[in-house]
Amino acid sequence: MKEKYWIFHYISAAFLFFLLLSHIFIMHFYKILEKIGFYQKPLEWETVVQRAKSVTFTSVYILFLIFALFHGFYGLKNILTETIFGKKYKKHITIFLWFLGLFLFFYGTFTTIKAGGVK
Amino acid sequence: MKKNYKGIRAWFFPGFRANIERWLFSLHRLTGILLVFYLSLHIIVVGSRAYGKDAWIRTMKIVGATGEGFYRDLFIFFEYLLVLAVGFHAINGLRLLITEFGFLLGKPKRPEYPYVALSLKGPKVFLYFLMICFFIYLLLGFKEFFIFK
Amino acid sequence: MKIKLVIRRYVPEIFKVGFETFEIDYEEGMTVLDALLKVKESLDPTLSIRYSCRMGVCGSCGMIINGKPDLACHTQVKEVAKKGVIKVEPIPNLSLIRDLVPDFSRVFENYKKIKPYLIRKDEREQESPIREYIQTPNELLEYLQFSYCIQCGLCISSCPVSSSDEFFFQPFVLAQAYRYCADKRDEGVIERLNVVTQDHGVFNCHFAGGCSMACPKGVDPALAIQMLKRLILKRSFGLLKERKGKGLVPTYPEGPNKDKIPKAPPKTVL
Repeated sequence: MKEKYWIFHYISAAFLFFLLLSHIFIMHFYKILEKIGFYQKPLEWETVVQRAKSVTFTSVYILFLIFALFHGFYGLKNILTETIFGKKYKKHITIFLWFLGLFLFFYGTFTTIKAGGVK
Repeated sequence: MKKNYKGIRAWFFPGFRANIERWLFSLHRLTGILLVFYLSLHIIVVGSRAYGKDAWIRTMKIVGATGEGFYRDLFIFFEYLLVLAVGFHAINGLRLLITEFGFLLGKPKRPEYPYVALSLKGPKVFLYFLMICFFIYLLLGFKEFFIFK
Repeated sequence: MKIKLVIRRYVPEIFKVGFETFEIDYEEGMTVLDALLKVKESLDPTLSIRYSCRMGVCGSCGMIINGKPDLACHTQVKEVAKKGVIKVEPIPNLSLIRDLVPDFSRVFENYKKIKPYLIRKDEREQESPIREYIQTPNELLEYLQFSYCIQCGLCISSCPVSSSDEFFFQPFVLAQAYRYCADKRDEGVIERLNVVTQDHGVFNCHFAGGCSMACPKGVDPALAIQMLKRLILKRSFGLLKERKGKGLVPTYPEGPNKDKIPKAPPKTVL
């Protein structure tokens, strides 16, 4: 099982490399994109709603959540268990991070799905 | 018996002339921890859009993503740092993804004096290429955040 | 010429902790180990060091010399002395028994766990082998580099994971696990992979490369560990098959070149 988590950490890394960099370019580099003729305002409410209504964006968001949360929390667990503190409270850390990760995943999914129906 | 561990300190301060991969490890770890915390906050903050237009606009104003003034400038500065952290973590992660599965490292050979570590020498060219990529990304970000209006 | 040796002392019986300075005469060709032994002979007999072969083969005298991990017997005083001062510390990231003697017991417990010997499925073959196994020069090259490891523990001193995780398997142990996995005569790959994929095993290596920089024998543990990860990747995609170990070297009468061997010349003396 540890092996599977570890492999998935790398698989999610490979996906995140493309997903996250495109996310960065769309959301943060919009002035540069505007210069090359791809005009959009990523933080305006109209654009947000438009993205939330699209099925592609919603599913990509959920995929994004799974990969990013798994990658992040697996990495954090790895870092924490490499300390003396982590060895002592390994079980607690694992359970806590699972809970936090699942909570954030459900909250994120709830947001993406609910935002699709918002006026 | 006395414990003689360098501890967590050695992740960021090796205490000797360390190789470049070792420093990249430190930075990768640091940016990784920061990004996890950012991701958690990000999910909570962006969650405001499920509560309608007003909630969204208000939240964006509170965190400083829109609007004017000092908070906006501060936000831009931290946004740039975030973008750099993501870029570094992604580009260094690509190197790790390739080398940790044994690619680009070369084949083991008979060690002959003076010893050269293959695993560090093999991916050097790729490492320099990635450094250039990161530098371009850094400049691009600088232009985006501080020059374009 | 005089040189100053600044040695980090730890003698629990007399509560001696901290740095102590000794001054000795320099002789041409003196290594750091020679200098330490001279201190022990003439200045302070309570100084404890671990050493055996004095020529970089046994791997007992690994220590931190002027901040750089190296073998004491391998390092010339002339090369490292900065204004005639040499600072000597024990290997960090392990427990300390006395002065320059670290405690390797946990490391060697892990070393035993990875089964650092050839495993054959046939029990009779494993317990009472008759002859050596066939192997080509190329097969030898696949692991030869890693078999040069002398277990000096210098890789431990520069690994960032070892510094915070006491239970980490340590770089050279994982490298040795790969050394036996890469051996074509071995049949215990899966068994060993099950051991190294435990907690504090191979997944805690993040390729910082410190071990390969510190290695005094050119073993390159980082390379071995990454290859081990590759084996694990292969296994999880079902590409790694149980290996049938290489067969025995044929004995003389059954050899393929039996007929080509010339007859012994006739006796010339009685």
